[in-house]
Amino acid sequence: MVKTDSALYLGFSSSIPTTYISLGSTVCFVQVLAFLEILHVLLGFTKSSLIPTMSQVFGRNHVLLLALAFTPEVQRHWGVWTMFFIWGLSELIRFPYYLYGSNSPKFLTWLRYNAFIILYPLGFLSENILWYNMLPIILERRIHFIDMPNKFNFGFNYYYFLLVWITLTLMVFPQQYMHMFKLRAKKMN
Amino acid sequence: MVDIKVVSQRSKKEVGSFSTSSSTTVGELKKQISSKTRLGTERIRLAVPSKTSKLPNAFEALGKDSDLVSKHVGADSTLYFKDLGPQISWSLVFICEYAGPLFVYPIFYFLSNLIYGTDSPKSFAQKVALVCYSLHYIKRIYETIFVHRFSHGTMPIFNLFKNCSYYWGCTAMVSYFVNHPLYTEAPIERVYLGLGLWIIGEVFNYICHIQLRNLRPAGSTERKIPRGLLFEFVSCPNYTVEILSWIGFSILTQTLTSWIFALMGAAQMWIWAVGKHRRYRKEFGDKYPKSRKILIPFLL
Repeated sequence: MVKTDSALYLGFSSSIPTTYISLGSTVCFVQVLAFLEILHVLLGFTKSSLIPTMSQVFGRNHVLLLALAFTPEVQRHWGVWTMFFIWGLSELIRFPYYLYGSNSPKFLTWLRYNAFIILYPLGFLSENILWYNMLPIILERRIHFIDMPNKFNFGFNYYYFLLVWITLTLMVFPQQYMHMFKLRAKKMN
Repeated sequence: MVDIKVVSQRSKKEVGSFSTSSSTTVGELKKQISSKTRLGTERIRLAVPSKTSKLPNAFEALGKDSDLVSKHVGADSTLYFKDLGPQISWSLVFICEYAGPLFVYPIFYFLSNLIYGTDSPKSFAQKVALVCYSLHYIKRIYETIFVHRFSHGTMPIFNLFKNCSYYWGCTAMVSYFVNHPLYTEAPIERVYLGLGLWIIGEVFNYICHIQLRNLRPAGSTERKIPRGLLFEFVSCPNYTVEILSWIGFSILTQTLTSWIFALMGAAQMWIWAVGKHRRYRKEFGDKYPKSRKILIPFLL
């Protein structure tokens, strides 16, 4: 057993199914800290819009903390690797840009306003590939379901909720993407 | 006679020049613009650049249609025109808002077999809830037709969809769970407590609406300080007792979605109440009773 586990850590190709095992708890911890970003916007520390910040934080933390954390089978899917990789790349661009403020070097500004063209759709795709794999497990195991009867007379079907949620994110994606191009047009001219 | 230039607020294109005299009213000017643009007068908003705001594109709308145009503009001034879009009367919006729940709520009560795939005999609380919910919206429709007077004639038609979505959607959200076959009834004492609060809330809400209506005799636009009963304690007792009603309904049904609906309604009414309280203080100054609270007697 020990040998088998250690063998999984060897070689590049073997690291893909073990991404969550290796990094999952760290990424979960860091993503919980991401709620502070919302606080930073509210307190005026960063001059970002509240709604895009909230939708990113809640969107990521939803897929990671409420779904992926509860579906061990999907934690080995390659989509986890690509999702973590893309999240990490986008932060590597965003936070140095924030730190530099108005003194940002040209290549960093260029990355800030162009990298999203590839990163955003790939990240979106990764998340949805994971959703596609997680949905049947969530339904079968009734993860996060609330069933009646109970004293609150309330029921919740997480599976149906996710169908609506995923549909909404699909609808919002094009607008969000085009909006980023508008910001890009302003900055790159 | 004075020619007033009217310019589109958005595109800055000239709509036209309109001949006015010193006695021409805003309403009469709107009619002239209406015949030129072919838009109904209710869609036309006239404004002048704001003198107080520092924002470059801030405008202040002209006052009532009965105001004189000369009160707002001089000989060489320009008026800014904005098309408010298709309009619908307030009372029609309200009737649609309130009629929907009368159809939506009973669907879950009477068509349980179709909706839930199973059925079970309705409990006492479920029956009472159906009656209460229906009576509430019947009362609202009655008040819209016979009690309320609306100061603004129309509102954008989008509000119809927005408001109906809210009322009809919330009704479905509440009714689905109250009428569910796996519904758990509250202890009978709590059902009666909730019902009692609901009745008190509804009756006083109606009384408040009558008081507000009597504040302004038909045709009058004079504004007065509301007096009597609950108005002595809070500025918006109609909202206070409405919230009480929904708290009662939630106790009676012990349904989470009912509490959510009550909370959302309370939040919205708090916002309206704060605004109204502030306007009262601003308008009536020292004459407005200082001890009067916004929504909760003696506290808030």
